[in-house]
Amino acid sequence: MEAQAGAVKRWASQRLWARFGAGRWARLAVIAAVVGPGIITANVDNDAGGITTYSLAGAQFGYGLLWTLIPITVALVVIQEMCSRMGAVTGKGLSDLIREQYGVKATFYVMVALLFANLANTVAEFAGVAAALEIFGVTKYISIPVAALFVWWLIVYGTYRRVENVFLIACLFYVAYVVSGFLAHPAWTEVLTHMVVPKFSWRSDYLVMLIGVVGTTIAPWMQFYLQAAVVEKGVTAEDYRYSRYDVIVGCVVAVVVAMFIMVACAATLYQEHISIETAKDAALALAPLAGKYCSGLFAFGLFNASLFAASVLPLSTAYYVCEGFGWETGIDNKFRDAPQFFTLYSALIALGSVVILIPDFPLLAVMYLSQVLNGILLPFVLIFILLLINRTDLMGKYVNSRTYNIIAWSSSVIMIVLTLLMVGSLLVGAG
Amino acid sequence: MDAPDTTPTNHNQQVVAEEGHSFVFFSSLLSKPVCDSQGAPVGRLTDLAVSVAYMFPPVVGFVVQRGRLEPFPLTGRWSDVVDIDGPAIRLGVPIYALKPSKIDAPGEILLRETLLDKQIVDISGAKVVRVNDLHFVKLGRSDLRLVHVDVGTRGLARRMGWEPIVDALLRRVAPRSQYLSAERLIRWQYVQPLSLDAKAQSIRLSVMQRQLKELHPADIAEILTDLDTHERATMFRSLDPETAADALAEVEDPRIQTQLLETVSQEDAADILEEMQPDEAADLLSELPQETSSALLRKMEVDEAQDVRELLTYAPDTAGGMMTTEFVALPADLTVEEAFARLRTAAPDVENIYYLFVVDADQRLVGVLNLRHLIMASPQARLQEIMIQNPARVHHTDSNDTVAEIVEKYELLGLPVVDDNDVIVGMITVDDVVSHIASQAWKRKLGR
Repeated sequence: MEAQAGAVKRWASQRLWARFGAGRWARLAVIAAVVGPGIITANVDNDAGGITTYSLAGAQFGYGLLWTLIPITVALVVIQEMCSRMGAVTGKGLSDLIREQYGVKATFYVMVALLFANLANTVAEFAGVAAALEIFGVTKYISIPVAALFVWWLIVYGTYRRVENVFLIACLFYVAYVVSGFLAHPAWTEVLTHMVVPKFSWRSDYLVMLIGVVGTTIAPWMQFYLQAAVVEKGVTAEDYRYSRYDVIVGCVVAVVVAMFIMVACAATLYQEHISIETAKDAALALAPLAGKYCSGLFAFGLFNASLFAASVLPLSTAYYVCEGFGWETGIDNKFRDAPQFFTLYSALIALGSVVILIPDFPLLAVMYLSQVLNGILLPFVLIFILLLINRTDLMGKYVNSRTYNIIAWSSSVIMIVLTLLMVGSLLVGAG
Repeated sequence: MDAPDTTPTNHNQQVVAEEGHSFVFFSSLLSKPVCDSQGAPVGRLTDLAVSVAYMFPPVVGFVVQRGRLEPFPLTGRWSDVVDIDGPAIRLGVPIYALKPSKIDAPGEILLRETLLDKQIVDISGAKVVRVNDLHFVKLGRSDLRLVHVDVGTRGLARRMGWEPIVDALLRRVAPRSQYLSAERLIRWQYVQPLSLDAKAQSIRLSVMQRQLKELHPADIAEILTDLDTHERATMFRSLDPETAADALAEVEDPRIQTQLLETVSQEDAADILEEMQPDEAADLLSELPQETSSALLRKMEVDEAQDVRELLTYAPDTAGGMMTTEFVALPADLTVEEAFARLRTAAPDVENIYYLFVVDADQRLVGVLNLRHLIMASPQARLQEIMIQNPARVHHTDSNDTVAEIVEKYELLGLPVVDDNDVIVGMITVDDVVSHIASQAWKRKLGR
């Protein structure tokens, strides 16, 4: 019986290799078959909120916060890798696992908090779309309805494969920030020095910004999205090692983009002591300093990132809420077969976009709320992940090693502490 | 209580309480305090064990967590429980009769560990659903039998402890809502759990096989597609080769088809392929890597493998790639009576006997017959007298589209396929044409 199980396993593990042969190109083909979830998740992290934070960090402190990006990359890779591994090994999404292992009540509270946090996040993304297109002279009364319809149509009439391709193309457009970074003509030697040599300051505004940059890096919904996407893609434990590249490449690319955003603002706005409040301010202020192309690219990047995140957020929220409660999910379903899924998805988009069109809506308050909810949720989500990944009954030999656990627990604890500090500073700032 | 199902028309009719019986939900027992025969508190109920060997599994054991700091729970036999209705569950034995051991008797499963909050297959509705609560019927003072699993929203509200509030609220705002009138309970007979250990699974399966067989293969295929990769494998492995073959043929996504075949050992995969129509087996094998498909062919019965090998030599998008080699060809000079005798021996192996081909001494196609012609004709008539001469046919290199065109034009249910010498080599049935069109649509949908 056991020998038979062994034979099945060996056979399955030869599968991808056999299908593609064994040369270098074959290896690339295998990687292509699992790539996507990691790159998409990490890139969506650079959404409207993220871009705003990095722009402000660059404008206020120049290159002074660049050193945080390398530790951030490590923490991001470690946490994303665990989710991706869990998806591949268990074949279940994170909300599935939380429901099965920790019961209805834990699931319910996590899901309700996520629902509200993500609704607020969706509002922020649509606000980003409106702001970016206003730079190009498009009124939000046109841009928002069009963007909302596009996002809705993409999923309701799309298939998983097509949607993933659209998302991967959106990832390519982040190159806009890299180009605008170059157009700002930064002092490259200085940039490199600041990347590796930490320059710390105890000034309170510096600390608040440091916490903000770290806190915007890992949002709770990302872990749910990544794991669900790995499952949907059908990655198995045997093919998993290639998924790891997907995660690492995604995280590095995302952080490089963040670096160029900071550098573009540092080389121009910080040098000229121009203070900004939003990413839109940053794009506008870049025009006289670095030229209209730099400014245009910056605004286009904001538009792309916001629209991208506005597509992913409602989708992933609908996904894991339905999974947790046992309702039918999936892009490839018809409305009749998965009514809760499509209702939730449509409602998130409708609410998230309509709010922007209400005059005098307290947009800033909503964004604060989303950050606060994210911050409160993150500790729970990270601890659930760490507990689940160390369960041998779920993960078998794929549990964390001891060294890995030390790294994972300490980055999680640092993340949690910094996030809670951010929540605190937001509450103090708002009050 | 173990009465046979007397409601064949409505598969999922709920069990109704008889006089003296009442229903109990698992959620109302979980976390209830437990006290021993002396009235001393023991702890709180955390799980129940049932024996799955029965049609309505009786509760046979229980698990009690003593306090938050006690690491090992205590377990006991349900027969020692004397009362479950009071504020606490009362035992008829003192606390030291309970043991700090695990329940792992064969055929006994822990409900919270294996069913509650887990996914199951609802066989009556052919869907994958999540269990929100479990429903017992209570016989006498404490005899509990598992009768339903609750997959409805009401079960969720009950688990949250909000059932009375949600009920009261809905009665006021939407008194006619479905939530109030319909419980979503599934009878235990129609529940296929997915996370049982091997031993409990095999016992449960012997009870389940009959129900699974009642399902249409297309429904099984749909369930398989809905499951995640691991559960898909568990369920597929639990099917007998015949059911597995039928279900596999109905799975539309070729990616899932090959994935399923790879979840069983090569021996079992070969058995399943033997049970499939040769043309379907060939289609499936052509999706697999060369080495794997030849290994599987070597493991199959020689005859069946031969048919499939032949089919594999034809290009996949031609008539040859579409046809089956299972058909009935009869010599033209046979009498109707003799033809019937031949059919009786051939019928068990051949799927389609409604279309019969008539051939000359060199196996060249000269006519077709359908079963109706044969039945209406006099037993002494020769086939060449009653057959339709010069029937429509395709060459094995003709394209799929040509085949679809001809089948549609002549409204045929079966189309003969011939080689260069007009010798019949296979037949295409209308369902092959339909599934060709369906899979074209599927591939377009996947964007390949």
